[in-house]
Amino acid sequence: MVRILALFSLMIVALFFGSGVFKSDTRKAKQELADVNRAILVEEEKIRVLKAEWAHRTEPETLRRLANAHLGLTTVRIEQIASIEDVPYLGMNLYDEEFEATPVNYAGTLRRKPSALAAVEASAKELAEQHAALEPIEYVMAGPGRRAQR
Amino acid sequence: MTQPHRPSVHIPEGFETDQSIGTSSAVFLDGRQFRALEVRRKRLFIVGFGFACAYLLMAFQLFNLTVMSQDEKAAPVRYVASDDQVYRRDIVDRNGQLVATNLMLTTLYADGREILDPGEAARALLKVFPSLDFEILQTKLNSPRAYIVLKHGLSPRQHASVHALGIPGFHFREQPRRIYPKGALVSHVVGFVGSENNGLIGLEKSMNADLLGSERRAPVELSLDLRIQYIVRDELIKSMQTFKAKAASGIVMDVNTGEILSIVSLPDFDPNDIDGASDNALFNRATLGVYEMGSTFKAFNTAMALDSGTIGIEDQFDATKPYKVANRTISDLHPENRWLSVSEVFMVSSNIGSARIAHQIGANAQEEFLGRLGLFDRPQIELPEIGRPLLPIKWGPTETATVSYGHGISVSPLSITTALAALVNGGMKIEPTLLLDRIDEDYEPEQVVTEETSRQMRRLMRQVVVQGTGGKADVPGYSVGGKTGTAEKAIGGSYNRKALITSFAAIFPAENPKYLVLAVLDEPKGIKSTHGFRAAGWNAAPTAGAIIERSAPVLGVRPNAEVSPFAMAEEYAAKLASGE
Repeated sequence: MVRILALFSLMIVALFFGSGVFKSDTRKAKQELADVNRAILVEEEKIRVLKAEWAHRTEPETLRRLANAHLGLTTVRIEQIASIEDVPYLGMNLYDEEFEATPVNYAGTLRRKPSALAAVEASAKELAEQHAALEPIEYVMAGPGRRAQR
Repeated sequence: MTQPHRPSVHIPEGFETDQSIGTSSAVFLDGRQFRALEVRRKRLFIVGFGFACAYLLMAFQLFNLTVMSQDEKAAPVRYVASDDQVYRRDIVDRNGQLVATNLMLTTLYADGREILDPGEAARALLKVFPSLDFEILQTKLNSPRAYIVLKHGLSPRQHASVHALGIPGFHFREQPRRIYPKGALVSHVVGFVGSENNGLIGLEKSMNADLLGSERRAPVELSLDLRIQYIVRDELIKSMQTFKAKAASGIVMDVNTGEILSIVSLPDFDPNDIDGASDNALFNRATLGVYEMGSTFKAFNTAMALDSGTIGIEDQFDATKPYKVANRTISDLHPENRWLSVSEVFMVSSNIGSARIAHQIGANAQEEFLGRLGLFDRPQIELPEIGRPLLPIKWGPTETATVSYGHGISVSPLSITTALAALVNGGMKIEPTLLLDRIDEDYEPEQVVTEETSRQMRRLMRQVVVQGTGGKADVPGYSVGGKTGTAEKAIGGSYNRKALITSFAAIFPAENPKYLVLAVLDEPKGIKSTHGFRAAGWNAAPTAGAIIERSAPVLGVRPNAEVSPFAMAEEYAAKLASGE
């Protein structure tokens, strides 16, 4: 009787001890979870600030002012808008002597006959060589408030 | 430890204990010895019982603390740092551009009971915030209240600076604050919130319940396109400056869905800084203001005639001389003094012709037709600021005549945009909306005019731009159609010839309209380049044209083939070939 009681008490003590250990582990894990959650909130808040900042910086009037100051861009004119459907059909006149090697003509031909690609590529290579022979242009990064200098 | 089957010995009183009995036997005592032993045993039992109780209590408490404990007060942390705050949903435009969001901002406040020297505290604070007023600050700090707000929205640097002052009684509080990163661009539409985080005007007010929530949710998507909104606002500002107008408003609407891509009212305000906004700036002219729209109404009159089935587009009406109705004489601004067909009445914007058409149709039919287009109701849109139309009290012959050319009836620009959209989109009545993808599958659009009438109206509106009063709205490459409207403002019961409301309602592409652009100018002045004229054709029409020219590429509306670079190149080549 006494032995059983003693054993039982021991078990209870062990149980209490064990649960105490688990409890402490749980608390640690919860603390960690709370820390991570708080860190997430802080990060989220940072993201929100950045998003708001981005939205503010990309306000159209600001962009227009910056584009005017640094890029020299203007409003698109209607005459500058076209699509590939607008390209006139020129037929297979790539090898004609009178074929004018303009991008428009190339595109118009290419659309109808992919095999003309080789001829275009050869011509493009030639153009590239001519281009390489030209004097290189130096670009200077535009500083704040200054226009890009050539 | 006791052993079983021990011999028991009884020892009577006065008997001397024999050593031979040994300690292995249970001993029974009599008399004094026995009683003394019993007392000890009882005491031992009481003490033992006390200890047992104490251990039990400890065991129970141990069990309670380790296994059962759910006491939140004992919990070490709160799992979400800000779970008591109220979230307000973000608002974005149709492309996902952020329009309204919340940021945690620091508020500086003082506890009046802790402030030792208000003067010194105020002086110290001025070092960080030079713009604050010393007197006001000192008066504030003198108050014994526990929560004296001194400054909202501190930057981290200001926060640190105030902290470094080391003045007792200054405290900080983190609060979410509504931020509008695009500033004045969407001022009237989105509106703003008050200090209690409740919307006061605009969508912030009308959608307050939907925007608020106990958790973060997906943003509200508007039908607005900020790029178009910017273009409209920019062009209206330019026109206001050029024509010295007092105010302006503009709307761009998808005529098939009713989605509003842009809605602008000028002057406007920065929703981040509403203290500086006047009532004039807060007033939404595009939806709350109601105006006599003038000749723009002739579009409705003409559609009514064509839709009645009794009047054809080539039917002639007498516009040879001013038309007398009751005690009023109706005349034209630029009299043609001849018979005009229905299409000519529309193109030259003849008041006489319009009044005669209306009279032939009849007052009842006119009232019914305009009501069917929704011009008598407040437009259903997600804004709290919606103007109620001002209608004639009785619908007599005079009213029938004046309403035919847009006088004696006042509607909001939004209202006229919505009704016009129905005229040109094939005759379907639409509901304007500011929200994207408003799904309403059960909604069956009501056919308010026939498709044929709608087709004729598009053609007529195109002609107004090609040959009529709206020439300055034309944009080569985009077939723009439209109608001018010039109305004198009724001030103090009589019309003022100098104070005009000019408007231009444009559709493009006119053959199959996708978008409707309405530009309204309030009291534009005649200038040199308009030869002193101030009618809509000189100011509102070019404004609408400029808006279309800039927004069509953004909206993906393709220009006609004749202005493409290839067509121009061909033209140039032909010129070269002919030796010019």
